[in-house]
Amino acid sequence: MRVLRRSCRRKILQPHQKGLAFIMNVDLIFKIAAIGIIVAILNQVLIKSERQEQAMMTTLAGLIVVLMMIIQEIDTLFQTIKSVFGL
Amino acid sequence: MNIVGLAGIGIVIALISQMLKRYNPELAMGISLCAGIFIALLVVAQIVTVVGQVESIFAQTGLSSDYSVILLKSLGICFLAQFASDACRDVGESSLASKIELAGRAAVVVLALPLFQAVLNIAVELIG
Repeated sequence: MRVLRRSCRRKILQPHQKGLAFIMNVDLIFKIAAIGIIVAILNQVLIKSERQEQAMMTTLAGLIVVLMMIIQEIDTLFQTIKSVFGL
Repeated sequence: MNIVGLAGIGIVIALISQMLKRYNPELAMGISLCAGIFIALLVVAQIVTVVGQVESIFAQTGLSSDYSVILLKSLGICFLAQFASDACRDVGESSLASKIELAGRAAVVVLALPLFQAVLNIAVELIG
């Protein structure tokens, strides 16, 4: 009976050798929260002063800024997971 | 960061997200997603040592190293699929979440096909 046994050829990498793309700051979360609150206040102010188009544009601008920040963080997370789990 | 800080951040962000949900639901999802990414990054940073230990244990058993690679990759796929589907389900896109989970399951099955083949080979050898 042939036993399936092969010598382990792959080196075992230490954590610092894996080249992890690393941790984000807590500040980013609070920056996004601050942007959200400011955009909400501006939205209400502009709506009440009869400028709906500008209100919509500020909301959209805030959304795009936040989206760009989040996409960078998502990229960091996915790169880290790919390097840790070898995907 | 220890568990106390993480728990505190989770609760505070949940509160802020709830507050933003009335004025700007998209931003509420954004901020909870960001907090989730932050916590997940810290968890993965701590898991790296565990992964290294598991790899060394696998090496000591003498099994082929391919099997431990398959195991770790499927763990990563499960984590990513769970993260994405939870993010979708939070905003109410449960159909999208189910599709992502289905894709994760299919990816793990495709990844584990060599294992099935190896088991089948051993079984055939044992029988005949």
